[in-house]
Formats: sequence, C-alpha cells, structure tokens
Amino acid sequence: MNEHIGKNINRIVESLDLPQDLFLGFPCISFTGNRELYISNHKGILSYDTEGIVILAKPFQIHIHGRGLIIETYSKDELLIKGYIHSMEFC
Amino acid sequence: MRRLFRWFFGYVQVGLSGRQVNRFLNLCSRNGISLWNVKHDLKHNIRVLFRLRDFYYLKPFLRKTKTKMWITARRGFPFWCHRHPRLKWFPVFVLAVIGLTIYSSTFIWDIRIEGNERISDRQLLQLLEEHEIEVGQKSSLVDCAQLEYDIREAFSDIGWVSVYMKQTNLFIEVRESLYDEHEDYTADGKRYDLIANKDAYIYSMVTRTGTAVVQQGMSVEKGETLVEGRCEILDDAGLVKDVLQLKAEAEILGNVTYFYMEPLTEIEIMAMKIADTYSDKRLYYTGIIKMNRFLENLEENGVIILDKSVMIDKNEKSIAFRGNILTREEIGINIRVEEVTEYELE
Repeated sequence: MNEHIGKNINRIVESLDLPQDLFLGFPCISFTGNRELYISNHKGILSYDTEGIVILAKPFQIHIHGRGLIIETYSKDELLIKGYIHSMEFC
Repeated sequence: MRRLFRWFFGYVQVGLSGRQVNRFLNLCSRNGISLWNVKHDLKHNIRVLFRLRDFYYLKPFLRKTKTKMWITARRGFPFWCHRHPRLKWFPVFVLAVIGLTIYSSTFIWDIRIEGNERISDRQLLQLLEEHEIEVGQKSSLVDCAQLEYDIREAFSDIGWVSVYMKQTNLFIEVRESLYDEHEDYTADGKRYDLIANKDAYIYSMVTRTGTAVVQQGMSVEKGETLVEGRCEILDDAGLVKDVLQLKAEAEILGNVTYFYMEPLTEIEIMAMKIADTYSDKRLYYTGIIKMNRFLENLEENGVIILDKSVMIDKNEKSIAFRGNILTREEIGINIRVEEVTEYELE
C-alpha cells in the first residue's frame, strides 16, 4: 500500500515538473572539479575518515572515497566536503 | 563576512574521541548547532570547530554518545579580549569613530551655488539663512522642492533653479533669465538718460537703445550724460520729423581710478609696538591685508581690478597707506529726465 502511494507520488512529481529534492527528499549534489562536493538535503553522516565518508540521504547512502577529506561545513541541511575525491557511489 | 562574524562571536576547536563520534556530530547538526572544519588529527581523533555560543549546549550529547571532548584551541574576539584586557576599549573606539562619521554625515557641510551672475552668493545665502538652512544644519530638515519654490518667489529674474543634496553638500543651481521684465520702463513713454556715476575713461561702449553722446576713448566726468534716451526720426529731407522718448540702454565699461587712503590707527600702532613686531615689513603686510579687504569689497560689485599701487606714508605722528587703484567697471546709471522738451515741427 505504502509503496503504491510512493510510486504515485513519484509519477505526479515527475509529470508536474516539480523539484524532486523538495517533494521526494532527494539530496542535491554538486561537484567543483574533484576538490569540492556540496550536498544539501542530507540526513547525516554514518562514518567519517580522511579516506572515505558515508553520508545518509533519504533513499540511499552516498559513499565518497578520496584522500585528505575534510568536512568544511556541516549543518542541518548542507554539507561541504573538501579534499581529493576519487569516487562516489550510491548504495 | 561569515568568517568575520564567527571571529567576532568566538569559536573553539575541540578534539573528540569515542565510538560514536559520528552520532555525536549528527546530533549536533540535527539540533541546529553548526560545526565546520571536521578533520582527523595525527592520533586519529576528530577535530571540530564550534561556535562559542553553541559550546555550552554540547554536554547532553556528549553524555548520550559517551564521547570525550577536549579543547584544543580558542579563537575569536571574546578570547582576544580576555587575553588583552587593556586593549578591549580599542574596538569600542573604532565603532565610535564609525558611528560618529555616520552621524556627522547627516549634516550639511557645504553649500555650493552655481550659475549665478547677477544675483550674488551672499544674497542667496541670506535667503537660505532666513529659511534656517546653513552649514551645520541637519540635512534631513532641508525640503529641496520647497526651497526651489521659495528661491523662485524671492528672485524674479531667476528662470530656473534646482536644489539638491549630494552626499553632505547642498547644491543650488541657478539659471538667470536673459531679460528682466521689471526693468522695462519704455512703456511709460518717458525719457531716461544714461549718465556717468564716476569719473572715468571709456574703455568700451555698446549702445542698445538711445543716442550715444560720448565715444570710446573719451574721458567723462561724474554726472555727464553718456547716452540720451531719445531717438530722432528724420524725414526724406533730413529734418527731424519725430522724437521718440526711450530708456537709454548701453553697456559702457570705463576705467575708473579709486584713490585709496587708510590711516593706521594709534591703537594698532600701539599694539604693534607692544607685541614688538613694529617694522617696515610688518607695516607693509598690514597695508596689503587692509587693501585686499578693500579690493574684495570692490570685486563683489563686479569690478575688474587692473592695477594697484599703494605706498606707506610715514610721519612722526601717524602712518597711512595711500595709493591708486585702477579698475574697470560698468559706469552709467539711468536717470529720468524730468523736462520733456516739445519739438515743434515746421
């Protein structure tokens, strides 16, 4: 039942061209080269290390691998990571 | 800007260790505590920067997540004040200076008048003074539109006036109309002659209406008629047919010599002697200052100064400055001629 509603909302949001980060709670991710990563609409950090960070977003986790990673800003809804980013995965 | 604010309110760097450091960070951010520069130090502890204000709210989260916390650095203005108690009034002073500057910029610092030729600055300033607008007045009290209206009311020969504030200066731009309606006497059919009001040597002369009696290059005495306010109309035979009564109008520039003489009062001499500054040089300077004051008065009336020579006249009893000042100015004033001669036509 719940899944059914979720699917419907998905379709409505898509067909009405509504912003998905607002209505579905998706994170908004933007890179600046491989040095900076900005994530808004996140749900928290699962683990932090200079080599890798795991960030919780609403439907999935974001794994970031890199070197010398620093969390430059960390507030309720935005996150700025600096360092040398090698890869990013959605799990 | 953000960094400046952070510095102003102060921030601390803390080291964190424990099993649930990530949870602690999540709790902080979820509760509106902003943190930045999260990084690992060499011993694999996490270093975080907190605002000083938020620092006091961390205790329950620390207890909840069993995290150890220690302060590694204190930065910002509150700590700076604590370290340099003597200098703590310095920022207050800086703020006071900024505040004073802003406050003083709400006053008029200068009044600039542009474009006036016949109306003198002093006349306009006097009008402003009557409306309580002068240097040092609050600029918010100036009603520019009302002032424009008042200036136009007060001076009839102003064609256009613009009053505006620019920064701390009050600008008054004036355009004088070319023709003065009120000086037009010709309608009353009476004769006005132009006569010399000073002894002068005529330098240049442009007659607009009337018949010129004198010429360029002539010397005239005070009271002499320069331009007659009449115009003869001749018939074909060269006889006078009719005489029009006019107001003579001409622009006559004459070289006028003023004799200048100013004695130095005894009090001034006494003062000089007491102050031990009595010398020829000193006297000479005093004379120049006095003469300049005299010349300034002349120049305000639209007089061009061509030449000046002043000498010190020194007696045993008194000291005086005398000399000649050669000027060029407009001579000639309109005088109504009472007796209107009847011309009989033959």
